Amino acid sequence: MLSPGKIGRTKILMSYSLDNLSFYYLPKKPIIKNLHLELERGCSYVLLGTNGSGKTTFLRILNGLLKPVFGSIRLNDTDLHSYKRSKIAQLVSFVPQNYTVHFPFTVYETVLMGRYPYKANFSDYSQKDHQTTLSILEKTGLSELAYKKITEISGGEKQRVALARSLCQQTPILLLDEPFSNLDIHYSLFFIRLFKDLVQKGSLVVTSVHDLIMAPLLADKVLFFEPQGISLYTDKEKAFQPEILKRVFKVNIHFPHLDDGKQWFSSINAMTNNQPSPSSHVVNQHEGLSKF
Amino acid sequence: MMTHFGLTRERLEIADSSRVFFERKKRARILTFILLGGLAVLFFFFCGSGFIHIPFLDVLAIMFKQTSENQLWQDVVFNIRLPRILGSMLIGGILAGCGTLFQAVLLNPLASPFTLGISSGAAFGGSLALYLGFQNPVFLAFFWGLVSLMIVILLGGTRKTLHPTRLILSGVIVSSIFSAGISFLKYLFKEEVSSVLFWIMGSLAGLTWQNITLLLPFSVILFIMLGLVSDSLNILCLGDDQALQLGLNPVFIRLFTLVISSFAIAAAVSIGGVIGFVGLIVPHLFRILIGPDHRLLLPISIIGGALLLLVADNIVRAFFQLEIPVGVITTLLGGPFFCFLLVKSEGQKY
Repeated sequence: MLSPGKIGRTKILMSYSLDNLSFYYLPKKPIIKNLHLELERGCSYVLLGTNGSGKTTFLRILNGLLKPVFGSIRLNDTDLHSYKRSKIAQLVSFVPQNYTVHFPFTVYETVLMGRYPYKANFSDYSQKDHQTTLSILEKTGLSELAYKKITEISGGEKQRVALARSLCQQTPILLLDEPFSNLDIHYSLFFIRLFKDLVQKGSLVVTSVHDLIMAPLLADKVLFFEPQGISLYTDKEKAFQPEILKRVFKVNIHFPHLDDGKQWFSSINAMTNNQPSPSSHVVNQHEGLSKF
Repeated sequence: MMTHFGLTRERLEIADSSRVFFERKKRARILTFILLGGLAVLFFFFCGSGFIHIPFLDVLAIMFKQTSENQLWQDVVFNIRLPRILGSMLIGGILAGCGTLFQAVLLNPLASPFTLGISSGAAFGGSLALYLGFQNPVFLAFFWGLVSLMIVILLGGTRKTLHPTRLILSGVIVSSIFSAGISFLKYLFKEEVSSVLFWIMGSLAGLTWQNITLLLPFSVILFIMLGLVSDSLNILCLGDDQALQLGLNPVFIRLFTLVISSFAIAAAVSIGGVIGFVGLIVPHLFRILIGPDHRLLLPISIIGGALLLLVADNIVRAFFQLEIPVGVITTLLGGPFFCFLLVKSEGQKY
């Protein structure tokens, strides 16, 4: 096996390259103007900005759902729009803000659909697909929900299913549009940990987040979306400074410092280490019920 | 002890979350065989029942040996009953299969094969043909059915998308325009309105072998197409963006399936008229029984629809003194049954 670190390092590591990219829905209101940017694998990018500042649009451009009006977007040195959609599906997965499934599929079936890009036309899902699905369900603490209909579970659970489905796609690039908006703090931290692990193994994760507690934990690099343009901060310690946050959000935000002078979110490992253990919940629930 | 037992069972289920998936698949397979068996038995049974009763074994003899002592029996079975029975099965299969397809493609559980106005177009064409005094209204009906779908697609599609809600809206508009057209023709007809009405209500009386030759190729193409796209329809239910993101072009699937199925629907409506509720009720019934996976749901819906219309039409044909349009029967029985399903599946969101 070739490890990405050894051979052709720059070529393999470089994932997205945006060159002079511009995008607008209406010519009067440009959303992205002359953007030069490179997004590398093995790095977690967090997109921050006010409502309607173009974060979702940016993610949709990265996914090829929208075509840039000017400029080019290249994925691994090839124009993104010259790929077949089925090929992109094996490289990039996308979790949208609103995840609606229109018929009462079970959670299991929904997550299994993440294997669609790997399936030969007109054939059934393979044993391996089922195994992957099972392991992803277990990894994301969804095993108990596997039978449930997706139309009948809560918003947060649905969001976990959406994340599980995109993990099931096993792509090196993950684009997440506000993936934690409905999650409780336990699962937010749990998924942050999971994505950080993936990033360490060489994935590229691009996430738009509104939660300023979660954002520093997940970020390696930060992209600020402002009316005057998009700015990249490669050092997150510098990105989460009060003056920058004030400029972007028009709100005074101060993060507490630790005793050694570092930002509090530098101690991410201590915060996100506790993995959820679904079976322990079950035990408690049953013990609690048996008392009545 | 009970708690302990419950817990181990839960643990077992967690260990194999895919079990329900495979059990459901098995259940669907068993159901398919039961329905197919029922279809085969009723097929022969109905060949024998009617004004002239023919014993079951004699029907088998006529079918398989092609000869019989009784020439009349043979004529009745081959030239009168068989086309109508085959026709009812094919039309039932088309309507139910397309109902399932339309609900998936339009992302709307209320969709039926008639949602996009193909039926109204065909009914208008048929009425027009009857008004102009054509002997055979089928071809004009077929043509107008396709015309209406083309208008709907042109209205519903913008440059790059084919949005379900837009499609449904334009379907409603086109449908009501053609309905008004039919009403206008009815007004012009004055006394002879009954022939139009009978046909609009949906009736399989007087189906001929010639009709079957029109129906058969389109339904075969439809059924093969449905088999090929069933998997993609599941993906389509995740919404357009997610489908595209998984490597499936939703606009292409939508356009492709709508065009292919519209031929079959136009053929079915032009021959049997507007037979209500088969295309709405059958998909819902089986979705409740075996879940929404289209790889299981589509074949079962087709067989179930064939069975339903076979039974309904033959009850009308063989057991009633006067011929009631079968569309009236399916709607009369289907409506209350649909209410029952709605009440029964309370809490289930579609």
